[in-house]
Amino acid sequence: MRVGKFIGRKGRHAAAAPGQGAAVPDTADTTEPGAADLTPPDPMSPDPTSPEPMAPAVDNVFATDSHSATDGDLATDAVPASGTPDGGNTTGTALPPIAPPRTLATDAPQVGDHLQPLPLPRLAPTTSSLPGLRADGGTLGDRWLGAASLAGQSHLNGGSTAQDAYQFTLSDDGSLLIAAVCDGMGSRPLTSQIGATLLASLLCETARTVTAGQLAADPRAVLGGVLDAACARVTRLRTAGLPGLTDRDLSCTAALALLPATGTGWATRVGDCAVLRLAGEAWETVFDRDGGPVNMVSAALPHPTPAEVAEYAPLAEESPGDCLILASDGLAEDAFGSPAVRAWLAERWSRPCDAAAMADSLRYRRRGSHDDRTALVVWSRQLRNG
Amino acid sequence: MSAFSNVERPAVFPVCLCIDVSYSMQGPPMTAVNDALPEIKAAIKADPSTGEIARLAVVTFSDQADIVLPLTDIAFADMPVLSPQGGTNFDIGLRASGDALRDGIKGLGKGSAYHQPVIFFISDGEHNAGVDWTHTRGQITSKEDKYGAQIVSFGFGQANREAIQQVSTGFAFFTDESDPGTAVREILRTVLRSIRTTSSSFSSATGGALSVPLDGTKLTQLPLTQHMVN
Repeated sequence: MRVGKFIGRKGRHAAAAPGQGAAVPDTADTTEPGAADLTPPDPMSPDPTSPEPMAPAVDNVFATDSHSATDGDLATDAVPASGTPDGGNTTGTALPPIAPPRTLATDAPQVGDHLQPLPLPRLAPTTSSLPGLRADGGTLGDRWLGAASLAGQSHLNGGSTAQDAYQFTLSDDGSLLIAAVCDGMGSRPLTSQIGATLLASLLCETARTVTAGQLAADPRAVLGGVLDAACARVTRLRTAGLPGLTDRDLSCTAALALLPATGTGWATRVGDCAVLRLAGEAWETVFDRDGGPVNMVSAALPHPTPAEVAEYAPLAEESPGDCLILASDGLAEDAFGSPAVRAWLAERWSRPCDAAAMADSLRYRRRGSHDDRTALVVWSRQLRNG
Repeated sequence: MSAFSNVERPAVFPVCLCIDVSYSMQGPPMTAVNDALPEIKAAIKADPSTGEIARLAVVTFSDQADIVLPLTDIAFADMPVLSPQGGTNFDIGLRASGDALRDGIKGLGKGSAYHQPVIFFISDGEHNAGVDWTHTRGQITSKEDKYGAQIVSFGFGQANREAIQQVSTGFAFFTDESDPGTAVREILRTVLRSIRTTSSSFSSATGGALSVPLDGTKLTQLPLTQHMVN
């Protein structure tokens, strides 16, 4: 297996960007022994430890037509980030190759055959872009919470911003841990990250006034009320501060969990964010996974009647060692579709993680997985002290 | 059935090229298609964010339709060499495209994740068979069908603009390029760019909105009419 210490190509600064990307070695690093073997070596696949920078994209007949020369340079022909010059080579002159950036070693697996090195990342010039990496780990109330969000390769290829957001808090009376994950719509690449960030914050802010007793008494009404109020606040803030935008420009999917100190918690979601349970190596999904195309979601927020389009589910009190996971679809689809990713995450999350470990847990490379990855993990209280 | 797969099932983006190979395509247009198909393979293969997701099928239609390339991982595809034959029957071309996508997606295995399929329909002529193709078009694009596809249509030469418009589910194009070989190259380049930009946009909920970049081409987008929308 080509696990070992791989160097992602996510950023120029090693500490700032543990990529989920392709492996390019930093010669200063050495491979750590003992990594689990999840993928057999593939003689046909490029050596992920190859120090070669990315080769230019194939030169073909399309490059010689009436298009500019860059049209043949397919690596620069990704979705424009903002409708402005995307930073690609617009002169028709080949740019010199960029040396692979330094990054941090990881044991994160490579899953799938014929994995190629990924292109060097391009940063989003959008002034409202989100960080390509965000991570947290620590106690919140009487639980340990770890969270991380990584920009997907699709965004890094195209120089567009990540669109996932997460937020957490405690209720005002301390009786509830509140956690939210939101995933901005790809169809609004310039603004949906604003909506995701705003809604994640407002869901938590709104839910702070809820008490464990209120939740136990009428969970659907409480969660529906939180969704209604948060969406209304998004709309009010948009109208006041972003008058050029519509609710659709801020569209995102969302998952929200309210966890009391003891007893049954509750989760709600709109769209395809996931809420998962992990007990040892056993995974469970709280909400059914939708069939059909994965790029078509059932609903999004803001919505005129969010409580009506939301799904609701109880969360039985966790056993020692269990985790509750709120995930964007980028991570959830990997968990649903890849035993190797599930095994990796189960091992990594078998004990509470700090921020760096949370980020590292999302650095696996999986064939076809280029979406943003966000996981917010709440460990059972019994593990609070390790 | 568990939502969690016990085998590796990466999400795929199913794409079908539905190409008119009637006799009017002989000469430069057919040469351009046959030259372009390996180039499309090379370009997709060279781009991980597309090559790891896109699965390609190629369907030809004239008086008959053939699935000359079933839905295939592009890295392993032997691109077909096409030759002209017969008249133009949109119905069987569309039906075979729907079949290729449905069978290909089913072949991925239960629980496999996939993005909404797209058919790129290319024709230089008019439907001249005695069957109504619009019913088939409605079937293969039905939003009630989990395999329902979107259709991007391209016309050139003697193609009927209105028919090209009607085939599409939202994106219909016509090129006034006088040289048919150049027209085909331009269309296939646009197809490639659409596959790439759409694949790259599968990055969030309802990312993956189909996009068809036209920059620098002579393609004209035909106006959206009500009957183009399901």
